[in-house]
Amino acid sequence: MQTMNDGHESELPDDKTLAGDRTLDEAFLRLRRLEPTAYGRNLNRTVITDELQQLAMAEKKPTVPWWRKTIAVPVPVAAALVMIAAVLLFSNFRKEQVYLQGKVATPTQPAQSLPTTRSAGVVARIEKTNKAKAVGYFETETYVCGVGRLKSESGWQIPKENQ
Amino acid sequence: MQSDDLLVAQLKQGVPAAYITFVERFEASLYRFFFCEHRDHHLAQEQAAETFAQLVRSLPSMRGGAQQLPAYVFATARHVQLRRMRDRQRHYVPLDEAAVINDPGPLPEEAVSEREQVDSVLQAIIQLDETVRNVLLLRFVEDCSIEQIAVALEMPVGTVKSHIHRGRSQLKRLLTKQECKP
Repeated sequence: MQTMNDGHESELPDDKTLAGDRTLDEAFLRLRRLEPTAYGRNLNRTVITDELQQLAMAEKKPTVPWWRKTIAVPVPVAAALVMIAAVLLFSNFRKEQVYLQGKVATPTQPAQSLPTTRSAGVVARIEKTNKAKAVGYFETETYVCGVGRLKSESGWQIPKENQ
Repeated sequence: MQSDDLLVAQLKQGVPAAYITFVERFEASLYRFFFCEHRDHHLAQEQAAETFAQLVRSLPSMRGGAQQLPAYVFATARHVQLRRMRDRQRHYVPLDEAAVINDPGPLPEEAVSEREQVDSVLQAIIQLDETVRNVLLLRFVEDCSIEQIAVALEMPVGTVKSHIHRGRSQLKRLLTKQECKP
């Protein structure tokens, strides 16, 4: 650790070389003679023994299997994960709905003009789904270097038997 | 030195015999460190024991070897000291009054004929600023190096030197003043 004053303070004379402090030396010598009592010494040993025993007990505890272990996750991270999962589920659900309804528009044909089957029968719906799976999506883009995008085209290609 | 390194290695492994050696080496130092702060004999012994308890828990994760051990021990002691100051919300008394407060418990050095002289030194040293007092005690009573004190008290080496320089002159002035008193 360095501070701005370190340069100046390091120039101070070494404390051990300061002479003529007999008063201080005697004072420190007296303090060195202070010792704890037998009670204090016993207390230290008892405390150390107890702590070591506790540590040994803690080490002996059976380890928890991995499926019972828990981890701490911060609330913002957990909330973000839940939101991502919810969005993914919702988008999957929407895709399924589009396929099931079969409302597929071609570039030249609006979605409303497609023939719809109002049958509530399961068989009809499955047939519709199978047909919808044959539909292909295409996207074409033309770029010129230095100019950018010239043409962009996208839409659904429906096989003849579906039209 | 090699035996010290071995001791530290055994302490990290939790060998009980190593802890006995460790206690013998540091118990008097820790007792003095706490006793010089408040002159309460019982409290100093309790704080020393608390420090040892904390050291048993934290020593296995200590970095370094025998050279870092004294600094680590006194850094832990300082944390115990600071925690007590926070927890107990001590009632502060003016320094003039503090100088004449008697010890609450019996002193271990009661049997020693020097008791009065020790008292006068303690009365002087207790009037020093806490940081200066700790620096002086670690340097001149516990013989720690300046670098070890810097690590233990979490301050730059230059500041330690400055505290030593200022603390010595302050303490000398206080001791001289006491000697002059009738």
